[in-house]
Amino acid sequence: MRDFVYTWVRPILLYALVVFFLVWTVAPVTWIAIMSIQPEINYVAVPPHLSLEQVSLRWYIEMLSQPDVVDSLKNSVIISGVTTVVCLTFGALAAYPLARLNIARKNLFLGISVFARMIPSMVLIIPMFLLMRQLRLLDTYLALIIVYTAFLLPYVIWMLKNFFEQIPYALEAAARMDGCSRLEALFRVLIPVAGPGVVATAVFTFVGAWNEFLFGLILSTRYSVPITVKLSALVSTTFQSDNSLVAATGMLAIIPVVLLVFVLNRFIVRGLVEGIKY
Amino acid sequence: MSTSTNASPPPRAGFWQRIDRMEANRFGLLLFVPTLLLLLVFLAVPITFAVVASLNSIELTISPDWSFVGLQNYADLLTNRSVVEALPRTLYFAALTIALSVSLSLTLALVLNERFRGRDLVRVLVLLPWAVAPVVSGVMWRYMFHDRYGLINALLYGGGFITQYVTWFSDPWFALSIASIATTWKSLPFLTLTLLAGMQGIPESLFRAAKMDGASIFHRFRYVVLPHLRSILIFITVLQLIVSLQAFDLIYTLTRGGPGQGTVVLNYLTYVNAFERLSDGNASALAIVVSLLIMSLSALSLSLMARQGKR
Repeated sequence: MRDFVYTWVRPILLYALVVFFLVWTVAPVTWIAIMSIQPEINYVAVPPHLSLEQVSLRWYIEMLSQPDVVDSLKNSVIISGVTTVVCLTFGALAAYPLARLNIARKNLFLGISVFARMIPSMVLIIPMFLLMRQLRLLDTYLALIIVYTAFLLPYVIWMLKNFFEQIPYALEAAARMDGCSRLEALFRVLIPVAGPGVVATAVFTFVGAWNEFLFGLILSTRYSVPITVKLSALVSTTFQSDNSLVAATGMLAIIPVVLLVFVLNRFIVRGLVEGIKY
Repeated sequence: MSTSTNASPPPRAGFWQRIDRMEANRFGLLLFVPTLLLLLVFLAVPITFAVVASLNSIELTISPDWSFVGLQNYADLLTNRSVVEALPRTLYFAALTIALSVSLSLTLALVLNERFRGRDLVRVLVLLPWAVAPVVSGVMWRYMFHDRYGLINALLYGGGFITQYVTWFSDPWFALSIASIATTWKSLPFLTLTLLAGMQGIPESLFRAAKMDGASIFHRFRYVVLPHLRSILIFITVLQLIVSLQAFDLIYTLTRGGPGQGTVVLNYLTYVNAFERLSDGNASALAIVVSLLIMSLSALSLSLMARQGKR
């Protein structure tokens, strides 16, 4: 009985589950990928008849020739990129004393960053809108960069603190003996040694900023519209038009981050796990 | 490693040296200052504002006047029809999301913890939904279940299970269930990774001992794996409750709250009240109630993780 289970039931069940989870994971993406390279008439048909001859990139070309779509992709790159740089700089500075120095009030600082992680964005949306209006920052990159940094920084501090704590103190002590100042030890020893963790944190921040939607929707109207908001606008205005265009835009919105995640996947798995550790 | 401070002009060198010789406490505080300022101005101030706004009657688009009404906005929530109607929807959505995501992530983690050919590739592939923005995930699942060109309809029709395409989104409970499925899809990679990390913390010797005692694969799961994962499973449950209470982006592109108000869950209602009905005081009160719920749940989940970490 047990041999039967081990030679037949277990592998069959295992591979069936593997296939199920692969299909479950890729099906939604595959479906919009197919929609984005096929004329609508093909998938509207009952049942759909997809044809290899009619595969075409013209929906991508059409979207990429619309200046506002290109602009929103550019906006997302700039906003997410700057947010990542700012978060990592502020985050490294704040994580260093939390990981290394035996300072009083350390728990207070830790508490502040934990508390900041818990705040849901919906409660801040009205005040943030009014605040940004007061600062005359509505519809600017700066507004979104500030908001995303405020939301992501507490996570960044935690992740970097966890990575810094894994580095043996002796490394840093040696650098200090060689005449490094504390800040130099941070930037020349701790950050390079924690390299993979820093990469993971950077990807986490970039993806978080790229995928944000609510603040983008409320704080930008024309010039700083990110791709997520542009896509949602297309969804609600294209009820009558070509859905291949919406599908192509959806693909454009995920391709950069999906590539990033696949290329750097080894770092990310470790980073995500470290990021939630306390 | 010669220091760049030596190369700098004297006044600057003095400044950096003074910082370096600073007592540890003050040095740490100094490094925390940029973060502290940012969080103060862009988190603490807005929160205070939201609390104050919730105690006032405000309709900013009509007039800039505020009138203090105390807890009236909160009392109104109890009798507000749209809030009362959103409650069962939110509960159903949260319950289904938790059930789906906990069971599926546990299964996937168990699968990925086994040895099989191609495991490394599968482990990378299943990360995919983590990278996909919730709005895009909403669009994807809208197209999966679309009444005219949804893949689900095409497959069911092709398999002979239905004779006519189903209009899934015209039924509010179907629509909510699809929102649950899409939310589960999006959160599965993270939950699975968390569980996998927990499983890898189980000492190999425990398995060997159980095997020697003749424990079957199911017994080993029940008596070795499950007890080890208990706090992570509770953490995941709380996390998905938080995710359900915060649902907005995905529903915005999946259904826009429809059919009718059929998928307007609590957090979505805050948005509707603030930006479509323009009742800011009311929206703030609702947002704060939901936030208090979320924050107490977050505190709970964090303490669970802390306990897990210490083991």
